[in-house]
Amino acid sequence: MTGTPIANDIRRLRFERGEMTQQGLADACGVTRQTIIALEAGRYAPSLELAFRIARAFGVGIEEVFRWEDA
Amino acid sequence: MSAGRDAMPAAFGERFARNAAAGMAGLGLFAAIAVVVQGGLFPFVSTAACLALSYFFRRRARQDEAGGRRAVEDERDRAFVARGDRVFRLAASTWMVGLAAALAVPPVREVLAVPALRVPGLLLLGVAVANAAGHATVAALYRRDRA
Repeated sequence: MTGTPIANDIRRLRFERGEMTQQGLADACGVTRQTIIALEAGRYAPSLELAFRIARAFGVGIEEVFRWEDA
Repeated sequence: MSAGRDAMPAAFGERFARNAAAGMAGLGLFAAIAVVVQGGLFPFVSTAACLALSYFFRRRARQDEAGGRRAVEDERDRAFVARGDRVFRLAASTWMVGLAAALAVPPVREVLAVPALRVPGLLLLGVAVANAAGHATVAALYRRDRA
């Protein structure tokens, strides 16, 4: 569960959405704040369902939140 | 709460795993002394009852934690618990196979079989040890993820 090649822009998107808190995003997606922290730190690769939930919470497409990064 | 730096607080699953690992280790110690060595019937029954109810301990703790509409656990927690379950199965299987192998050897069988509750006590002890190993694994995974 560490060193995932899936990078994300969750932190940037939170700031662009009026400094949405991690807890606010977690509540919007039905997950814990710890999971949002782990995602932002790149320590956890979300399921496809959670990835879609996060993208929907920001009102963007999934490819605007997540991208594949070769090591 | 700031949207900036993030100290990751211990999740419900981590706190429960830590407490459960300590509890199961204590229960295993109790079973080893009071059941396997001393052969007490009441300790045997109480250890078996604790193990049988351990599933409900987690459910109850989760219900206590879930106050509002916030999620208490999610897919990341379930992934940790699944890895702990694999360690539990491995530890329990190893213990049972080891005990079965020991019982197949006549001198060992005689030593183990003399007090009436020694073998049942060893079986319960194995379940407690496997539970402790599983919970400790989950706690270690959370800890590693927070580091």
